Amino acid sequence: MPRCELKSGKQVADWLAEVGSQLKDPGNMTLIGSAALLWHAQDRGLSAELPEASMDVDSVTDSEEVAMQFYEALIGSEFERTHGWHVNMMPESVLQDLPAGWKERATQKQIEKLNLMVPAPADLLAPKLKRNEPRDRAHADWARRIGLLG
Amino acid sequence: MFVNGMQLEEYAKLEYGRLLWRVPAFRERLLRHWLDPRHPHAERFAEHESDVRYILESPKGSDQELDAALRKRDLSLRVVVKEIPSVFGSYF
Repeated sequence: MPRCELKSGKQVADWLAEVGSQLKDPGNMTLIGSAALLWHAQDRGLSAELPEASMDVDSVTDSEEVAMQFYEALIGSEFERTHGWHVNMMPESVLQDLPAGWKERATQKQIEKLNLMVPAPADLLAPKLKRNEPRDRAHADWARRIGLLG
Repeated sequence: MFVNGMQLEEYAKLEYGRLLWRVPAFRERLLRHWLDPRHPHAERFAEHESDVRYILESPKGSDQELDAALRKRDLSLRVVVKEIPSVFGSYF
């Protein structure tokens, strides 16, 4: 059974720092899903945890080195055993599910050689609200409650 | 959500497989993993290895041409992508 212990933005931030420190060449990553919402909370200094822990971080990259980092963090890996969650490699086309203009509203951060892009919270929630499953609604309520959508 | 008729998770195997197939050491690591006797699909992969290599060697953006070429052999990109084995983190 996959572990399901991703609750805080610090966990995401720590992993990104780890990835950034390992890269020899510049690489891109776009973070989506609930991990991206957690990242925003951390970035804004909010220590709120997800109402329901997540099992994975959804990420997109076109960088070989970053992709190699993804493979080290798959289900069943040592990474999952020590961190309590795994990486879910998403194809680039998943970004087409985001609202038009999402790139202009996204946050970009440089973490050593990692060029991180995180869509704005409202854009991250759009596909979740389209799915409209209980967990998606819970994440939307949480984001609203802690002020990510303000 | 589907990409070229394939579920996201399936298509991700093609996209990331293609990306890292270009790195010789990683390519060898994937092949060792997929042919590992512990891998539940090792036998099946061995039967389809040449077709899987064919699609993983193809460039990004060549899906339509690839699918057309495979259909001439009564295959399809979707069918061959399904033969890309999963990667199990516990012994990768």
